[in-house]
Amino acid sequence: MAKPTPRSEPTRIEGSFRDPAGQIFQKDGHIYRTVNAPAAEDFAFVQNTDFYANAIVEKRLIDAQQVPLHVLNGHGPEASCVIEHPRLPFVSYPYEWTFRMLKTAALFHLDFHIDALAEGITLVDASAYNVQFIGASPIFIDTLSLRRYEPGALWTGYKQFCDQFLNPLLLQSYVGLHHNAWYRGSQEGITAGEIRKLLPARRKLSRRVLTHVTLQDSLQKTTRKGSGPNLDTLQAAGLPLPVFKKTLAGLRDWIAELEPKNAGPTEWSDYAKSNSYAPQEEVLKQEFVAGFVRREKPPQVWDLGCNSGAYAAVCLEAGADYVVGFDSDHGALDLAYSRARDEQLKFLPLFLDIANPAPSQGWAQRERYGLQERAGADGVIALALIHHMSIGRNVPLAEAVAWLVGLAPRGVIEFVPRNDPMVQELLRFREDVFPNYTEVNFLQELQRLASVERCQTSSSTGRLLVEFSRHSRD
Amino acid sequence: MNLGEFVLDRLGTGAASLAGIAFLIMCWEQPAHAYLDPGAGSLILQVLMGGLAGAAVVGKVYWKNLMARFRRGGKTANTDHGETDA
Repeated sequence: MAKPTPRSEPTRIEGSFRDPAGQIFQKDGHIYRTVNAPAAEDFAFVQNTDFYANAIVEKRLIDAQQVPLHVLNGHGPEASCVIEHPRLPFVSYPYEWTFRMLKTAALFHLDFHIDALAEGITLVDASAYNVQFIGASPIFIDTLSLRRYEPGALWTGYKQFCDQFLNPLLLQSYVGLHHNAWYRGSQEGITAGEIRKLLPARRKLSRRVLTHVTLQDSLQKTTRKGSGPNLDTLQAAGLPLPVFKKTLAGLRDWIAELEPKNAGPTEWSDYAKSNSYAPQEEVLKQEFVAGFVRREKPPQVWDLGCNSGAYAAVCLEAGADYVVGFDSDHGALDLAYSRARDEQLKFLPLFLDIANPAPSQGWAQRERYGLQERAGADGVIALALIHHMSIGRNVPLAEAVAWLVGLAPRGVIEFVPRNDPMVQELLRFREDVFPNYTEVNFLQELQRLASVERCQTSSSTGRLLVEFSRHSRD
Repeated sequence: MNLGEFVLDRLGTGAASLAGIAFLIMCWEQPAHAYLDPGAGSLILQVLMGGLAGAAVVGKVYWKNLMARFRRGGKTANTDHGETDA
Protein backbone atom coordinates (compact mmCIF):
# COMPACT_ATOMS: atom_id res chain seq x y z
CA MET A 1 0.00 0.00 0.00
CA ALA A 2 1.87 3.04 -1.22
CA LYS A 3 1.81 6.38 0.50
CA PRO A 4 -1.11 8.60 -0.48
CA THR A 5 -0.67 10.82 -3.47
CA PRO A 6 -1.85 14.40 -3.13
CA ARG A 7 -4.84 14.24 -5.43
CA SER A 8 -8.55 13.77 -5.01
CA GLU A 9 -9.09 11.08 -7.69
CA PRO A 10 -9.20 7.58 -6.22
CA THR A 11 -6.59 5.09 -7.39
CA ARG A 12 -6.93 1.34 -7.17
CA ILE A 13 -4.51 -0.57 -4.95
CA GLU A 14 -3.19 -2.97 -7.55
CA GLY A 15 -2.83 -5.92 -5.19
CA SER A 16 -6.62 -6.20 -4.96
CA PHE A 17 -7.28 -6.86 -8.66
CA ARG A 18 -7.86 -10.59 -8.22
CA ASP A 19 -10.92 -10.32 -6.02
CA PRO A 20 -14.23 -10.16 -7.93
CA ALA A 21 -15.99 -9.42 -4.63
CA GLY A 22 -14.45 -5.97 -4.40
CA GLN A 23 -11.34 -3.86 -4.82
CA ILE A 24 -9.35 -1.46 -2.69
CA PHE A 25 -8.95 2.20 -3.59
CA GLN A 26 -7.08 4.99 -1.93
CA LYS A 27 -7.96 8.64 -2.08
CA ASP A 28 -6.39 11.48 -0.13
CA GLY A 29 -4.80 9.01 2.26
CA HIS A 30 -8.09 7.18 2.91
CA ILE A 31 -8.54 3.48 2.16
CA TYR A 32 -11.82 2.35 0.59
CA ARG A 33 -13.12 -1.07 -0.37
CA THR A 34 -15.87 -1.63 -2.87
CA VAL A 35 -18.35 -4.41 -2.14
CA ASN A 36 -19.62 -5.77 -5.43
CA ALA A 37 -23.04 -7.31 -5.98
CA PRO A 38 -22.09 -11.02 -5.74
CA ALA A 39 -20.57 -10.49 -2.29
CA ALA A 40 -23.02 -7.89 -0.98
CA GLU A 41 -25.53 -10.36 0.41
CA ASP A 42 -22.88 -12.37 2.25
CA PHE A 43 -21.31 -9.18 3.57
CA ALA A 44 -24.66 -8.01 4.95
CA PHE A 45 -25.04 -11.38 6.68
CA VAL A 46 -21.52 -11.31 8.14
CA GLN A 47 -21.85 -7.69 9.28
CA ASN A 48 -24.84 -8.59 11.44
CA THR A 49 -23.10 -11.35 13.37
CA ASP A 50 -21.61 -11.08 16.85
CA PHE A 51 -18.43 -12.61 15.47
CA TYR A 52 -17.91 -9.67 13.11
CA ALA A 53 -18.59 -7.02 15.75
CA ASN A 54 -16.44 -8.73 18.37
CA ALA A 55 -13.57 -9.34 15.93
CA ILE A 56 -13.41 -5.61 15.21
CA VAL A 57 -13.57 -4.67 18.91
CA GLU A 58 -10.85 -7.21 19.70
CA LYS A 59 -8.76 -5.80 16.81
CA ARG A 60 -8.63 -9.20 15.09
CA LEU A 61 -10.42 -7.78 12.05
CA ILE A 62 -9.85 -4.40 10.48
CA ASP A 63 -12.60 -1.87 11.12
CA ALA A 64 -14.95 -0.98 8.27
CA GLN A 65 -17.36 1.94 8.11
CA GLN A 66 -19.86 2.30 5.29
CA VAL A 67 -19.44 5.52 3.30
CA PRO A 68 -21.49 6.99 0.42
CA LEU A 69 -20.85 5.48 -3.02
CA HIS A 70 -19.93 8.89 -4.44
CA VAL A 71 -16.65 9.10 -2.48
CA LEU A 72 -15.10 7.07 -5.30
CA ASN A 73 -16.27 9.49 -8.02
CA GLY A 74 -17.56 6.68 -10.21
CA HIS A 75 -14.52 4.43 -9.77
CA GLY A 76 -15.51 0.86 -8.99
CA PRO A 77 -18.82 1.12 -10.88
CA GLU A 78 -19.87 -2.42 -9.91
CA ALA A 79 -19.95 -1.51 -6.24
CA SER A 80 -23.11 -2.16 -4.23
CA CYS A 81 -21.61 -0.28 -1.33
CA VAL A 82 -18.30 1.22 -0.26
CA ILE A 83 -16.60 0.79 3.10
CA GLU A 84 -13.67 2.69 4.55
CA HIS A 85 -10.85 0.99 6.45
CA PRO A 86 -8.35 2.69 8.73
CA ARG A 87 -4.93 3.04 7.14
CA LEU A 88 -2.31 0.56 8.34
CA PRO A 89 0.91 2.12 9.63
CA PHE A 90 2.95 -0.13 7.31
CA VAL A 91 2.07 -3.01 4.97
CA SER A 92 4.50 -5.92 5.21
CA TYR A 93 4.66 -9.21 3.35
CA PRO A 94 5.26 -12.80 4.51
CA TYR A 95 8.69 -12.85 2.89
CA GLU A 96 9.66 -10.02 5.22
CA TRP A 97 8.52 -11.91 8.32
CA THR A 98 10.58 -14.21 10.49
CA PHE A 99 9.62 -17.80 11.18
CA ARG A 100 8.02 -16.72 14.45
CA MET A 101 5.94 -14.04 12.72
CA LEU A 102 4.78 -16.42 10.00
CA LYS A 103 3.90 -18.95 12.68
CA THR A 104 2.01 -16.28 14.65
CA ALA A 105 0.12 -15.31 11.49
CA ALA A 106 -0.69 -18.96 10.69
CA LEU A 107 -2.06 -19.67 14.17
CA PHE A 108 -3.97 -16.40 14.08
CA HIS A 109 -5.51 -17.33 10.73
CA LEU A 110 -6.59 -20.77 11.96
CA ASP A 111 -8.03 -19.43 15.23
CA PHE A 112 -9.89 -16.76 13.31
CA HIS A 113 -11.37 -19.35 10.96
CA ILE A 114 -12.27 -21.75 13.80
CA ASP A 115 -14.08 -18.97 15.69
CA ALA A 116 -15.82 -17.80 12.52
CA LEU A 117 -17.12 -21.30 11.76
CA ALA A 118 -18.66 -21.46 15.22
CA GLU A 119 -20.93 -18.62 14.10
CA GLY A 120 -21.72 -19.87 10.63
CA ILE A 121 -19.02 -17.92 8.80
CA THR A 122 -16.15 -19.26 6.72
CA LEU A 123 -13.12 -17.80 4.92
CA VAL A 124 -13.08 -18.23 1.16
CA ASP A 125 -9.30 -18.00 0.94
CA ALA A 126 -6.24 -18.31 3.12
CA SER A 127 -3.83 -15.76 1.73
CA ALA A 128 -0.99 -14.87 4.09
CA TYR A 129 -1.15 -11.37 2.60
CA ASN A 130 -4.56 -10.97 4.26
CA VAL A 131 -2.84 -10.98 7.64
CA GLN A 132 -0.97 -7.84 8.56
CA PHE A 133 0.91 -6.83 11.68
CA ILE A 134 0.33 -3.71 13.73
CA GLY A 135 3.32 -3.86 16.01
CA ALA A 136 3.52 -7.53 16.99
CA SER A 137 -0.25 -8.08 16.75
CA PRO A 138 -1.70 -9.76 13.67
CA ILE A 139 -4.91 -8.39 12.18
CA PHE A 140 -7.09 -9.77 9.37
CA ILE A 141 -7.56 -7.15 6.67
CA ASP A 142 -9.72 -8.77 3.99
CA THR A 143 -13.29 -8.20 5.15
CA LEU A 144 -14.74 -9.80 2.02
CA SER A 145 -13.00 -13.13 2.64
CA LEU A 146 -15.65 -13.69 5.30
CA ARG A 147 -18.68 -15.49 3.84
CA ARG A 148 -21.72 -17.31 5.08
CA TYR A 149 -20.86 -20.98 5.68
CA GLU A 150 -22.98 -23.45 3.72
CA PRO A 151 -23.23 -26.88 5.39
CA GLY A 152 -20.85 -29.36 3.82
CA ALA A 153 -18.87 -26.69 1.97
CA LEU A 154 -15.25 -27.53 1.16
CA TRP A 155 -12.38 -25.46 2.57
CA THR A 156 -11.50 -23.61 -0.62
CA GLY A 157 -8.46 -22.00 0.99
CA TYR A 158 -6.88 -25.29 2.07
CA LYS A 159 -4.19 -25.46 -0.61
CA GLN A 160 -3.45 -21.75 -0.21
CA PHE A 161 -3.08 -22.18 3.54
CA CYS A 162 -0.61 -25.03 3.04
CA ASP A 163 1.35 -23.14 0.36
CA GLN A 164 1.48 -19.81 2.14
CA PHE A 165 1.72 -20.81 5.80
CA LEU A 166 2.32 -24.50 6.48
CA ASN A 167 4.93 -25.45 3.88
CA PRO A 168 7.18 -22.38 4.42
CA LEU A 169 7.12 -23.17 8.16
CA LEU A 170 8.00 -26.81 7.44
CA LEU A 171 10.90 -25.62 5.30
CA GLN A 172 12.46 -23.98 8.31
CA SER A 173 11.34 -26.42 10.97
CA TYR A 174 12.11 -29.70 9.19
CA VAL A 175 14.71 -28.70 6.60
CA GLY A 176 16.43 -25.79 8.35
CA LEU A 177 16.10 -23.19 5.60
CA HIS A 178 14.56 -19.73 5.96
CA HIS A 179 11.45 -19.24 3.85
CA ASN A 180 12.15 -15.62 2.88
CA ALA A 181 14.12 -15.89 -0.37
CA TRP A 182 11.93 -18.65 -1.82
CA TYR A 183 8.72 -16.94 -0.77
CA ARG A 184 9.85 -13.65 -2.25
CA GLY A 185 10.65 -15.40 -5.50
CA SER A 186 7.46 -17.40 -5.83
CA GLN A 187 5.24 -14.86 -4.04
CA GLU A 188 2.56 -17.51 -3.50
CA GLY A 189 4.55 -19.65 -1.08
CA ILE A 190 5.79 -23.24 -1.41
CA THR A 191 3.67 -26.03 -2.89
CA ALA A 192 3.15 -29.51 -1.43
CA GLY A 193 5.03 -30.97 -4.39
CA GLU A 194 8.03 -28.76 -3.72
CA ILE A 195 8.27 -29.26 0.03
CA ARG A 196 7.70 -33.00 -0.40
CA LYS A 197 10.93 -33.28 -2.37
CA LEU A 198 12.90 -31.64 0.43
CA LEU A 199 11.54 -33.25 3.58
CA PRO A 200 13.76 -35.85 5.26
CA ALA A 201 12.49 -39.45 4.96
CA ARG A 202 11.73 -39.79 8.68
CA ARG A 203 9.46 -36.75 8.54
CA LYS A 204 7.51 -38.31 5.68
CA LEU A 205 6.44 -41.12 7.99
CA SER A 206 4.43 -38.79 10.16
CA ARG A 207 0.67 -38.88 9.79
CA ARG A 208 0.50 -35.10 9.41
CA VAL A 209 3.09 -34.91 6.63
CA LEU A 210 1.52 -37.92 4.96
CA THR A 211 -1.87 -36.21 4.94
CA HIS A 212 -1.19 -32.55 4.27
CA VAL A 213 1.91 -32.86 2.09
CA THR A 214 2.31 -36.31 0.49
CA LEU A 215 -1.33 -37.19 -0.05
CA GLN A 216 -2.27 -33.71 -1.18
CA ASP A 217 0.51 -33.74 -3.76
CA SER A 218 -0.20 -37.32 -4.81
CA LEU A 219 -3.87 -36.62 -5.37
CA GLN A 220 -3.00 -33.59 -7.45
CA LYS A 221 -0.82 -35.82 -9.58
CA THR A 222 -3.55 -38.42 -10.06
CA THR A 223 -5.82 -35.88 -11.71
CA ARG A 224 -5.81 -36.12 -15.44
CA LYS A 225 -7.26 -34.04 -18.16
CA GLY A 226 -10.82 -35.09 -18.91
CA SER A 227 -10.98 -37.68 -16.13
CA GLY A 228 -11.17 -37.90 -12.35
CA PRO A 229 -13.66 -36.09 -10.17
CA ASN A 230 -14.71 -32.58 -11.05
CA LEU A 231 -15.68 -29.72 -8.77
CA ASP A 232 -19.40 -30.54 -8.82
CA THR A 233 -18.75 -34.12 -7.75
CA LEU A 234 -16.49 -33.01 -4.95
CA GLN A 235 -18.83 -30.29 -3.74
CA ALA A 236 -21.72 -32.74 -3.75
CA ALA A 237 -19.70 -35.12 -1.58
CA GLY A 238 -18.72 -32.19 0.64
CA LEU A 239 -16.74 -31.87 3.85
CA PRO A 240 -18.75 -32.41 7.04
CA LEU A 241 -18.42 -29.52 9.49
CA PRO A 242 -16.94 -31.63 12.32
CA VAL A 243 -14.21 -32.85 9.94
CA PHE A 244 -13.60 -29.29 8.72
CA LYS A 245 -13.18 -28.08 12.31
CA LYS A 246 -11.00 -31.05 13.19
CA THR A 247 -8.76 -30.36 10.21
CA LEU A 248 -8.30 -26.72 11.25
CA ALA A 249 -7.67 -27.73 14.87
CA GLY A 250 -5.24 -30.45 13.79
CA LEU A 251 -3.24 -28.00 11.70
CA ARG A 252 -3.27 -25.59 14.62
CA ASP A 253 -1.85 -28.21 17.00
CA TRP A 254 0.83 -29.12 14.48
CA ILE A 255 1.93 -25.58 13.71
CA ALA A 256 1.96 -24.68 17.42
CA GLU A 257 4.60 -27.40 17.91
CA LEU A 258 6.87 -26.26 15.07
CA GLU A 259 10.14 -24.60 16.02
CA PRO A 260 13.00 -23.48 13.80
CA LYS A 261 15.48 -26.29 13.18
CA ASN A 262 18.86 -25.93 14.86
CA ALA A 263 17.68 -23.01 16.97
CA GLY A 264 17.42 -24.20 20.54
CA PRO A 265 15.63 -22.24 23.21
CA THR A 266 18.87 -20.57 24.32
CA GLU A 267 19.16 -18.72 21.04
CA TRP A 268 15.76 -17.19 21.62
CA SER A 269 16.40 -16.56 25.29
CA ASP A 270 15.12 -13.49 27.01
CA TYR A 271 16.58 -10.42 25.35
CA ALA A 272 16.59 -8.62 28.70
CA LYS A 273 19.34 -10.95 29.89
CA SER A 274 21.60 -10.01 27.04
CA ASN A 275 20.89 -6.32 27.52
CA SER A 276 20.77 -6.13 31.30
CA TYR A 277 23.78 -3.82 31.47
CA ALA A 278 24.00 -0.80 29.20
CA PRO A 279 27.52 0.62 29.06
CA GLN A 280 27.98 4.36 29.33
CA GLU A 281 28.50 4.70 25.60
CA GLU A 282 25.22 2.96 25.00
CA VAL A 283 23.44 5.34 27.36
CA LEU A 284 24.84 8.38 25.55
CA LYS A 285 23.82 6.92 22.21
CA GLN A 286 20.31 6.27 23.46
CA GLU A 287 20.09 9.84 24.73
CA PHE A 288 21.23 11.18 21.35
CA VAL A 289 18.53 9.19 19.51
CA ALA A 290 15.87 10.08 22.08
CA GLY A 291 16.83 13.75 21.76
CA PHE A 292 16.31 13.59 18.00
CA VAL A 293 12.85 12.05 18.39
CA ARG A 294 11.79 14.42 21.17
CA ARG A 295 12.79 17.47 19.14
CA GLU A 296 11.65 16.47 15.66
CA LYS A 297 8.65 14.37 16.71
CA PRO A 298 8.66 12.03 13.66
CA PRO A 299 5.43 9.98 13.80
CA GLN A 300 6.91 6.99 11.97
CA VAL A 301 10.56 6.06 12.36
CA TRP A 302 12.42 3.44 10.36
CA ASP A 303 15.21 1.72 12.29
CA LEU A 304 17.61 0.19 9.78
CA GLY A 305 19.74 -2.51 11.34
CA CYS A 306 17.35 -2.62 14.29
CA ASN A 307 18.96 -5.64 15.95
CA SER A 308 16.83 -6.66 18.93
CA GLY A 309 14.90 -3.40 18.91
CA ALA A 310 16.54 -1.52 21.79
CA TYR A 311 16.62 1.76 19.85
CA ALA A 312 13.14 1.24 18.46
CA ALA A 313 12.01 1.14 22.08
CA VAL A 314 13.99 4.34 22.75
CA CYS A 315 12.23 6.09 19.84
CA LEU A 316 8.80 5.02 21.05
CA GLU A 317 9.62 6.07 24.59
CA ALA A 318 10.70 9.46 23.24
CA GLY A 319 7.37 9.98 21.48
CA ALA A 320 7.40 8.27 18.07
CA ASP A 321 4.04 6.72 17.15
CA TYR A 322 5.35 3.73 15.24
CA VAL A 323 8.70 2.16 14.42
CA VAL A 324 9.40 -0.21 11.54
CA GLY A 325 12.67 -2.04 12.13
CA PHE A 326 14.74 -3.86 9.54
CA ASP A 327 17.52 -6.38 9.98
CA SER A 328 18.96 -9.36 8.17
CA ASP A 329 19.69 -11.41 11.29
CA HIS A 330 16.83 -13.77 12.04
CA GLY A 331 17.99 -14.34 15.61
CA ALA A 332 18.03 -10.61 16.33
CA LEU A 333 14.66 -10.17 14.62
CA ASP A 334 13.11 -12.86 16.77
CA LEU A 335 14.35 -11.07 19.86
CA ALA A 336 12.96 -7.83 18.44
CA TYR A 337 9.60 -9.45 17.78
CA SER A 338 9.53 -10.88 21.31
CA ARG A 339 10.30 -7.42 22.67
CA ALA A 340 7.50 -5.84 20.61
CA ARG A 341 5.04 -8.54 21.70
CA ASP A 342 5.98 -8.69 25.38
CA GLU A 343 6.18 -4.94 25.86
CA GLN A 344 3.24 -4.29 23.49
CA LEU A 345 5.29 -1.83 21.48
CA LYS A 346 4.13 -0.24 18.23
CA PHE A 347 7.21 -1.76 16.68
CA LEU A 348 7.26 -3.99 13.59
CA PRO A 349 10.59 -5.77 12.98
CA LEU A 350 11.10 -7.10 9.45
CA PHE A 351 13.67 -9.05 7.50
CA LEU A 352 15.63 -6.98 5.02
CA ASP A 353 18.79 -7.55 3.04
CA ILE A 354 19.92 -3.95 2.92
CA ALA A 355 21.64 -4.41 -0.45
CA ASN A 356 18.67 -6.20 -1.95
CA PRO A 357 15.37 -4.79 -0.60
CA ALA A 358 12.03 -6.31 -1.58
CA PRO A 359 11.11 -5.24 -5.13
CA SER A 360 7.75 -4.36 -6.61
CA GLN A 361 6.47 -7.62 -8.04
CA GLY A 362 3.52 -9.78 -8.95
CA TRP A 363 1.16 -9.04 -11.79
CA ALA A 364 2.44 -6.11 -13.86
CA GLN A 365 4.95 -5.62 -11.04
CA ARG A 366 2.33 -3.68 -9.12
CA GLU A 367 0.77 -6.39 -6.98
CA ARG A 368 3.21 -6.21 -4.06
CA TYR A 369 5.08 -3.02 -3.45
CA GLY A 370 8.82 -2.75 -3.13
CA LEU A 371 10.39 -1.23 -0.06
CA GLN A 372 11.05 2.01 -1.94
CA GLU A 373 7.39 2.26 -2.99
CA ARG A 374 6.35 1.84 0.64
CA ALA A 375 8.88 4.37 1.89
CA GLY A 376 7.48 7.37 3.66
CA ALA A 377 9.05 7.37 7.10
CA ASP A 378 9.18 10.67 8.94
CA GLY A 379 12.50 9.79 10.51
CA VAL A 380 15.21 7.22 9.95
CA ILE A 381 17.90 5.88 12.25
CA ALA A 382 20.81 3.84 10.92
CA LEU A 383 23.12 3.04 13.80
CA ALA A 384 26.35 1.22 13.06
CA LEU A 385 25.01 0.15 9.68
CA ILE A 386 26.87 2.13 7.07
CA HIS A 387 30.06 0.01 7.28
CA HIS A 388 27.95 -3.07 6.50
CA MET A 389 26.67 -1.31 3.38
CA SER A 390 29.92 0.23 2.18
CA ILE A 391 32.48 -2.34 3.24
CA GLY A 392 30.33 -5.44 3.78
CA ARG A 393 28.40 -5.07 0.52
CA ASN A 394 30.63 -2.78 -1.55
CA VAL A 395 28.00 -0.03 -1.90
CA PRO A 396 29.90 3.21 -2.62
CA LEU A 397 29.81 5.48 0.43
CA ALA A 398 28.10 8.31 -1.48
CA GLU A 399 25.33 5.97 -2.64
CA ALA A 400 24.85 4.50 0.81
CA VAL A 401 24.48 7.98 2.32
CA ALA A 402 22.12 9.10 -0.45
CA TRP A 403 19.92 6.02 -0.01
CA LEU A 404 19.61 6.52 3.74
CA VAL A 405 18.91 10.24 3.42
CA GLY A 406 16.33 9.46 0.72
CA LEU A 407 14.27 7.35 3.10
CA ALA A 408 13.20 10.16 5.43
CA PRO A 409 13.55 13.95 5.69
CA ARG A 410 15.53 13.69 8.91
CA GLY A 411 17.33 11.13 10.94
CA VAL A 412 20.41 9.87 12.74
CA ILE A 413 23.28 7.99 11.11
CA GLU A 414 26.16 6.50 13.05
CA PHE A 415 29.46 6.38 11.21
CA VAL A 416 31.80 3.57 12.21
CA PRO A 417 35.44 4.40 11.43
CA ARG A 418 37.89 2.06 9.78
CA ASN A 419 39.86 1.39 12.99
CA ASP A 420 36.76 0.17 14.81
CA PRO A 421 37.01 -3.55 15.68
CA MET A 422 33.76 -4.28 13.81
CA VAL A 423 35.13 -2.77 10.60
CA GLN A 424 38.40 -4.62 11.09
CA GLU A 425 36.38 -7.81 11.43
CA LEU A 426 34.69 -7.11 8.09
CA LEU A 427 38.10 -6.56 6.52
CA ARG A 428 39.71 -9.63 8.06
CA PHE A 429 39.45 -11.85 5.02
CA ARG A 430 39.37 -9.32 2.26
CA GLU A 431 41.49 -6.71 0.65
CA ASP A 432 40.82 -3.18 1.83
CA VAL A 433 39.67 -1.55 -1.39
CA PHE A 434 37.72 1.17 0.35
CA PRO A 435 40.04 4.19 0.49
CA ASN A 436 37.04 6.53 0.31
CA TYR A 437 35.51 5.11 3.46
CA THR A 438 36.47 7.97 5.80
CA GLU A 439 34.63 10.19 8.22
CA VAL A 440 35.54 13.27 6.16
CA ASN A 441 34.03 11.76 3.00
CA PHE A 442 30.98 10.58 4.92
CA LEU A 443 30.28 14.07 6.27
CA GLN A 444 30.97 15.63 2.90
CA GLU A 445 28.49 13.34 1.15
CA LEU A 446 25.92 13.86 3.87
CA GLN A 447 26.23 17.63 3.70
CA ARG A 448 25.63 17.62 -0.03
CA LEU A 449 22.13 16.33 0.67
CA ALA A 450 21.34 17.43 4.20
CA SER A 451 22.22 19.80 6.99
CA VAL A 452 24.13 18.34 9.88
CA GLU A 453 22.18 19.34 12.96
CA ARG A 454 24.25 17.67 15.69
CA CYS A 455 27.31 15.45 16.00
CA GLN A 456 28.57 13.40 18.90
CA THR A 457 31.35 10.88 19.26
CA SER A 458 29.70 7.72 20.47
CA SER A 459 32.58 5.38 21.29
CA SER A 460 36.20 5.29 22.31
CA THR A 461 36.98 3.94 18.82
CA GLY A 462 35.68 7.17 17.30
CA ARG A 463 32.20 6.24 16.12
CA LEU A 464 30.29 9.37 15.20
CA LEU A 465 26.57 10.02 15.64
CA VAL A 466 25.17 12.59 13.21
CA GLU A 467 21.68 14.03 13.17
CA PHE A 468 20.71 15.31 9.74
CA SER A 469 17.91 17.27 8.17
CA ARG A 470 17.50 16.71 4.43
CA HIS A 471 17.72 19.74 2.14
CA SER A 472 14.35 20.72 0.74
CA ARG A 473 13.68 19.05 -2.62
CA ASP A 474 11.65 22.01 -3.97
CA MET B 1 10.75 -56.27 13.64
CA ASN B 2 9.88 -56.30 9.97
CA LEU B 3 9.05 -53.20 7.96
CA GLY B 4 5.29 -53.60 8.35
CA GLU B 5 5.58 -53.93 12.11
CA PHE B 6 7.89 -50.94 12.25
CA VAL B 7 5.40 -48.79 10.34
CA LEU B 8 2.54 -49.91 12.57
CA ASP B 9 4.61 -49.29 15.67
CA ARG B 10 5.74 -45.89 14.45
CA LEU B 11 2.43 -44.61 13.19
CA GLY B 12 -0.39 -46.57 14.82
CA THR B 13 -2.99 -48.51 12.92
CA GLY B 14 -5.02 -45.48 11.75
CA ALA B 15 -2.01 -43.77 10.27
CA ALA B 16 -0.76 -47.05 8.82
CA SER B 17 -4.05 -47.35 6.94
CA LEU B 18 -3.54 -43.81 5.73
CA ALA B 19 -0.02 -44.75 4.66
CA GLY B 20 -1.52 -47.65 2.75
CA ILE B 21 -4.00 -45.40 0.98
CA ALA B 22 -1.22 -42.92 0.25
CA PHE B 23 0.95 -45.70 -1.18
CA LEU B 24 -1.84 -46.88 -3.48
CA ILE B 25 -2.52 -43.33 -4.64
CA MET B 26 1.18 -42.67 -5.16
CA CYS B 27 1.20 -45.58 -7.62
CA TRP B 28 -1.18 -43.51 -9.74
CA GLU B 29 0.97 -40.42 -9.75
CA GLN B 30 2.15 -38.81 -12.93
CA PRO B 31 3.34 -35.31 -13.76
CA ALA B 32 0.50 -32.93 -12.95
CA HIS B 33 -1.30 -31.55 -15.97
CA ALA B 34 -0.92 -27.84 -16.47
CA TYR B 35 -4.56 -27.41 -17.49
CA LEU B 36 -5.87 -28.64 -14.18
CA ASP B 37 -6.43 -26.33 -11.29
CA PRO B 38 -3.52 -26.78 -8.91
CA GLY B 39 -6.01 -26.92 -6.03
CA ALA B 40 -7.68 -30.09 -7.32
CA GLY B 41 -5.59 -32.39 -5.12
CA SER B 42 -6.45 -30.43 -1.99
CA LEU B 43 -10.18 -30.64 -2.76
CA ILE B 44 -10.09 -34.39 -3.42
CA LEU B 45 -8.16 -34.85 -0.18
CA GLN B 46 -10.83 -33.02 1.79
CA VAL B 47 -13.54 -35.25 0.39
CA LEU B 48 -11.47 -38.30 1.38
CA MET B 49 -10.99 -36.86 4.85
CA GLY B 50 -14.75 -36.45 5.05
CA GLY B 51 -15.13 -40.17 5.63
CA LEU B 52 -16.41 -43.26 3.88
CA ALA B 53 -19.12 -41.49 1.90
CA GLY B 54 -16.61 -39.09 0.38
CA ALA B 55 -14.08 -41.85 -0.21
CA ALA B 56 -16.79 -43.82 -2.02
CA VAL B 57 -17.55 -40.88 -4.31
CA VAL B 58 -13.90 -40.35 -5.19
CA GLY B 59 -13.20 -44.07 -5.34
CA LYS B 60 -16.04 -44.59 -7.80
CA VAL B 61 -14.59 -42.03 -10.20
CA TYR B 62 -11.12 -43.57 -10.02
CA TRP B 63 -12.62 -47.07 -10.43
CA LYS B 64 -14.40 -45.97 -13.57
CA ASN B 65 -11.14 -44.53 -14.87
CA LEU B 66 -9.38 -47.81 -14.13
CA MET B 67 -12.03 -49.79 -15.98
CA ALA B 68 -11.81 -47.38 -18.88
CA ARG B 69 -8.06 -48.01 -19.06
CA PHE B 70 -8.58 -51.73 -19.35
CA ARG B 71 -11.24 -51.24 -22.00
CA ARG B 72 -8.75 -49.21 -24.00
CA GLY B 73 -6.33 -52.11 -23.89
CA GLY B 74 -4.05 -50.78 -21.17
CA LYS B 75 -3.59 -47.34 -22.62
CA THR B 76 -3.39 -44.77 -19.90
CA ALA B 77 -5.93 -41.99 -19.88
CA ASN B 78 -3.28 -39.37 -20.38
CA THR B 79 -1.74 -40.74 -23.53
CA ASP B 80 -4.01 -38.60 -25.65
CA HIS B 81 -2.64 -35.33 -24.41
CA GLY B 82 0.80 -33.95 -24.03
CA GLU B 83 3.00 -31.04 -24.89
CA THR B 84 1.20 -30.53 -28.18
CA ASP B 85 -2.07 -29.67 -26.48
CA ALA B 86 -3.15 -26.15 -27.24
